[in-house]
Amino acid sequence: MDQPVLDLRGVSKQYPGHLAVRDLSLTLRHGEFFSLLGPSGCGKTTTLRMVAGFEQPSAGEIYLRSERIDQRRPYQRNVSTVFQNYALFPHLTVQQNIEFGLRRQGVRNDLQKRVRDVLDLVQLGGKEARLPAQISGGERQRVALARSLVLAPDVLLLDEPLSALDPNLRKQVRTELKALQRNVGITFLFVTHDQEEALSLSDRMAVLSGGCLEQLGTPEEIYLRPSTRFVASFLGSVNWMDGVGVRPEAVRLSAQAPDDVARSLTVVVEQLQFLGNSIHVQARMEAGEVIIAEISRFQATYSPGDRLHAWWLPSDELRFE
Amino acid sequence: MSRLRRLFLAPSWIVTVTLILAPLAVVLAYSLLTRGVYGGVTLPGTAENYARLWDPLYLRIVGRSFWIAGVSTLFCLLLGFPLALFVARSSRKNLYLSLVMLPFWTSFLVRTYAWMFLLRDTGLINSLLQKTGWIHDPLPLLYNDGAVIVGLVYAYLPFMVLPLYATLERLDPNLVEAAADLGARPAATLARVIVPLSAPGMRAGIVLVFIPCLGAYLTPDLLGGGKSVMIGNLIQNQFTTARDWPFGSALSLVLMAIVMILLWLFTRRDTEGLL
Amino acid sequence: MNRNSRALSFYAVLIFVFLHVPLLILAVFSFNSSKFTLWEGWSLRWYRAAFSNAQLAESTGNSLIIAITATALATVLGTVCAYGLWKRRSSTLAGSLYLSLVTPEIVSGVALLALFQFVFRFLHVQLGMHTVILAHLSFSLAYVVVVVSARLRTVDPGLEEAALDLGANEWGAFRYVTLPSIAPSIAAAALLAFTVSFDDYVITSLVAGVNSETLPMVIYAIARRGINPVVNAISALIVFGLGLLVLVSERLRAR
Repeated sequence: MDQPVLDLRGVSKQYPGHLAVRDLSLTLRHGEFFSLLGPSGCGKTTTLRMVAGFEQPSAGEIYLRSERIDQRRPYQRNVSTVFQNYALFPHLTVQQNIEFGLRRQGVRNDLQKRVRDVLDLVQLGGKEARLPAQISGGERQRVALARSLVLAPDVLLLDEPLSALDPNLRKQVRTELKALQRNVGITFLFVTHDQEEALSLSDRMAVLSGGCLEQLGTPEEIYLRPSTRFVASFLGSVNWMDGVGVRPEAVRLSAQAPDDVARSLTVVVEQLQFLGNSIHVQARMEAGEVIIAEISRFQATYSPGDRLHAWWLPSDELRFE
Repeated sequence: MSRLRRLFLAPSWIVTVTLILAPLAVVLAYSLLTRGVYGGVTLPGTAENYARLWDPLYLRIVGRSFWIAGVSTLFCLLLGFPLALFVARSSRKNLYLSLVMLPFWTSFLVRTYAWMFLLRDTGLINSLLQKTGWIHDPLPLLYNDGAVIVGLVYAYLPFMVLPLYATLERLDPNLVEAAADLGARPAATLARVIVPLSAPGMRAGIVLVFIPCLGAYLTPDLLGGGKSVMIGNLIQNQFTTARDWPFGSALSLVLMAIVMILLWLFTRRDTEGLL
Repeated sequence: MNRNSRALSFYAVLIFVFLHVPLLILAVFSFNSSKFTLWEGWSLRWYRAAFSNAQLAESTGNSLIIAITATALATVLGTVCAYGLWKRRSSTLAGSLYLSLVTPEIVSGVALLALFQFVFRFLHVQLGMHTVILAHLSFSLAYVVVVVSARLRTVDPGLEEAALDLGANEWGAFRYVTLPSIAPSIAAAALLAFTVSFDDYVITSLVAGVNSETLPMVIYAIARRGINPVVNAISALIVFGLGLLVLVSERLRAR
């Protein structure tokens, strides 16, 4: 069960004039939810497409369950992709879309049962006869999932599947997707530019930038102990002061000077932003720089012009060479 | 993978090279050769065929072709623009569009013949006018430049309407509203907003009408008799009765060159292609 | 939402009359019992004359054979070509097809005649049905490519990728995903090619040779000699037949 199911070794992708992926190595364990996170252009989608078989690596190898697959056609690999725009076949019904891969494999006997089971799994029972144009965006996403899951791939590849949904729907679908993955036990390789998605969904994640792997680890490791400035800035926000970073939620404020604290700063409140569940206090230090502290609305109420003391624990500092 | 793609395009390449490009190459070669004794071509190579074009007789024919094509195109534009506007503003666009296109698809020969039937001395128009006493002798409606122009306008009007309609239909209605909001009356809006913005459609329509009209053969032949010789008739003549293939080839290439220049002039600003 | 003024609508009616009345008159007068333009009562004599004319029958047969053959070839080759161009653009091929579209018919016709006569010096073949079919193929190909390409432009290339991802090979992806989408356009293109081929006079007359007369050639010969009501009858039949085909084609293309 701890066997690597997907193994990328030194994978690179060179386009004319542009190196999209640079010497990427990572392994996925069986049954884990793994995310590739990074800004647009970082190479995450290219990597996904290389695993799926739509692009050929310029260098390196890709192994699926110890078999080398990077030279094989997409239909010769036991991975399946959920596309960003779902790519449902418009002329086929939901039922026919889901059956598509099974029919190509020549499955006849179990066909109806397998389709019914996966429809129940994604909670789409009753919509089999509809065409993609006749169902909602969220339902279309579930059809895309079902279509790929019914083939029981070794790895399910998801290319920013939540980006086409309404923001309200996104949170709900996120929870459902996580539960689904736990239920089915298939390895998910999930590509996104949304750090909140990656943090909340993944068992482990990799942060990419400019085609390179910045850091690989669990969400906690990546958020709390970022190994580069880029990772620190990309996930959550950071106050940078003289090469040292402190996250806003780690900045503590009080009207009185705190005792038993080695160092604290005097700041003047400039602006308050009410974010619903928290408040961002924007304050200016004596040196002139701006610092942002995140406090809960239950903690205290401040006003612009207030003189406060700001400090943080040394263990909350982020330092890089 | 790209071997598969090359396989897809190979048959079409063969057809294109042998049946589209090679014929033009042969014509180019012939235009530089001399007329053979029994027709056909022989050496030596010469540029004389192109020099002959400057004979006033042939220049007159070229001039007439431009004149007829130009007038026909103008009429198509004047008649077609309001029609395109009508269809673009109507609620049953597809119906009216089909009505406009339907005659075009039936048969070019038949539509040209229809005007022979109407225009000749014993044709319908003259018979009606004579019967109702408007005229005594039949009017010479057929076998002149005017008849050719009528025939060409009738044949190619849909070619002007379609691109004009496409452009007008895509016109942002907010622009018309903005013009009204700024004080323009309908006539001014038409002249200063709608017409200028339909320029791409007009350019496409002019190209689609003028070029076939310039190279017209059937219409001047049937509706013009021998009196309205255009470039197309001249070329056909060289390859059949006159048996002067080199000269006919030179004429063909000159016509092609004119067409290419016109196309370049009129379509260089428009990026979207057909293929 | 109809924003048309009374004047514009009236003008549109006039133009529609201008476009359709000549053909309607032709059709009506095909039933005229008199040979002259004066109306003398209803009769089917011209239709009977048309159907009993051996030359007309043979030439119609030739036209059908040529049109069906050329259409079949152009449709298959054109569809494959459009598909190939969709996957990978070739501006030389596209440019050559565009050249075929903009070349005036008379130039295409004489060029093909010149090519055939040049080739026949070495091949001991004459002009005939086969040269007409080849000529028709040459101009129909571009029409088919244009129609099918237009439809392919609206197809999401990601759909074929999804098909590959789900286990179909390249042929399966085309057959199960792309082909169903473009099938109506292929049919419409075929009907278009047929109509254009059946009706062609200029190019056909130049490359047909002696023994392969087509219907347009016969009609032309009769019409050249003056008004003959038999031509009215044939015209009415052609207009009705081709018009029907075109209506079907438009319905298919809109699907």
